[in-house]
Amino acid sequence: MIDFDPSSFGLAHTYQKEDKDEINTLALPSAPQVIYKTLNGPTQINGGNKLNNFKHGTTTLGFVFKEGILLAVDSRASMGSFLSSEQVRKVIEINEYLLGTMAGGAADCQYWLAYLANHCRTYELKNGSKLSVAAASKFLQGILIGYRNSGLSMGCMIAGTDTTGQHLYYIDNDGMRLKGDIFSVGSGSTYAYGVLDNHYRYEMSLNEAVELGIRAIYHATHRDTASGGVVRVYHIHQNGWTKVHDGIDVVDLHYQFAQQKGLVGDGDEAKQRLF
Amino acid sequence: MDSIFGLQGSDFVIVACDGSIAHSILKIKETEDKILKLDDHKIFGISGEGADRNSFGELVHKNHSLIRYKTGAYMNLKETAHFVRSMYAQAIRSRDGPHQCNGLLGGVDSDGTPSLYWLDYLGSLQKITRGAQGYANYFLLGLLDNQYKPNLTKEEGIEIIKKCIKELQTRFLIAQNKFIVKIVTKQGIETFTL
Repeated sequence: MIDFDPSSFGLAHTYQKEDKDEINTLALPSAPQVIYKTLNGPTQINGGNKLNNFKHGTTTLGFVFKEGILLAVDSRASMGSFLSSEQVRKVIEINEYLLGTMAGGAADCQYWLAYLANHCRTYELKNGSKLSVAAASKFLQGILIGYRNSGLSMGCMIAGTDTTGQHLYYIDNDGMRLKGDIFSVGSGSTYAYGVLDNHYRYEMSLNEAVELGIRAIYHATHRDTASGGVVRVYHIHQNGWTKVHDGIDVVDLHYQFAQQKGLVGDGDEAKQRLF
Repeated sequence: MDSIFGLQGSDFVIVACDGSIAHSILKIKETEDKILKLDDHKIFGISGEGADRNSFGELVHKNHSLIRYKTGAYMNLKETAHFVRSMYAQAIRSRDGPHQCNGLLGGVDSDGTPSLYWLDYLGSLQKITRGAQGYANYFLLGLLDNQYKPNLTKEEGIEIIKKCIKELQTRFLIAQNKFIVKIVTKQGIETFTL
C-alpha cells in the first residue's frame, strides 16, 4: 500500500482517502529528478569532486610539428545528459592566419575571439603589419585577467602563423597563457593526451599528423561522454591555415579502427558470457 | 604546487624551479621557466597558481626597468628586494587583494656580493642564504641546512641543488621531472635544465 498525497501532484481539491480509493488510485512510481545543468561538462554527482573538475564537455587538441600546427576538435555540446548539438564548430577562424579553439563557455569563446579578430584587423590597418601570434594571445590574456573574478569560462588555444613561424598558445579564464608544443583541453583531454604523447614526433609528415589528431580525438570521444559528434581538423602553415577535414563522424571512425584490428567493434572483445 | 628553492654561495646565487604547470590532475606543461631574469645580474623565481605568477612577474620586471630608465641608475639587490616587497605590500589591502605568489629574489651586485631574498605574498622580506617556497620547504630545508656551509663554491652549490632535486623526486608525491636552474655570478646568468 503506497501513501498517495495528491497535493504533491498539484491537484487543487483536497482528497479524502477512502477504502475504495485504494483500488482505483494508481500507484505511480516517483519520477526521477531531472537536473538541467549548464554547459559545464560531464554530470557531476554530489556537486562534483574538485579533482575531476575538467574544463568542460569537449575535447580539443593542438600540436606543433615540422610542417606547422595541427588542430583537431570534436563537435559535441552537452547540457548534463542532454546533447544539445553534435555539430558545433569549436575551431573559430579569427582571421586568415590565426585560429582559436573553443572549450568552456561557447558564448565567451566566440565573443572574445571575435573581439580579438577585430583588434587584429585594427592593428593591421593602423600599423601596416600583421599582429604576431604572441601579441594576439597576450592581448587576449590581458582581457581575461581583467575579467578574472567575473565567472568567464574559457580554455582556448590560439594557434597561428607570423613572420617568426607557427606558434601555439594555451589561454584560460584564470589569465594563464602558456606557449607549448602539445596541448589538449576539455573533459576528454586526458584520453587524447594518452594517444598524443605516445605517438607524437616533431618530424611527422602532414598525413601522419592528421591521422594522429583524428585518432586522439576519436579515443577521447569514445571514452568521454561529453565529447563526440564529428572530428574537424585544421592545419596551420606558413601561408595561413587550411581546413583539412570538415567533419568525420566518430562513429564511422570507431568501426573503421576496429576493422583495422580485425575486430567487429561491438565492444565484446572479452566475450563475456554470463551462463 | 611549484617548487622554488635556492642558495647563496661565496660569489654566486642559484635559484631552481620545477617546470610543471598543472590543472587538477593534468600536467599541461613540463618546461615552464618560472625564474624571471630581471636584468643581467638578478633573477626572481616566482611560485604561484595560474596567471598570478605570470602577471606579477611582468609587473615587477617592467617596473624595475622603468625605474632604471627614469632615474638612470641600476638598483642593487637590496634596493630591488625592498622595491618588490613594497609592490607586494601595496596590494594586500587593495581591491583585487594580495598578489597570490611568493618569490625568491637572488643576484650579484656589481662589487661581486651575492644575496638571496625570500619574499612572501603579504610583503614579508627576509635575506637568507638558503631557502625554498611552497611544499619544497618541507622536503628541502633540512637538507639545505645540513649541506650548507659558508663560502660555497659554484660546483659545491650545483651539487647541493642536484641533491635537492633528487630528494624531491624521491619523496614528493607530485612527480616533478624537469627542473630549471639559474646561476648568477659576476659574469652573468647561466641557465640549465636538470
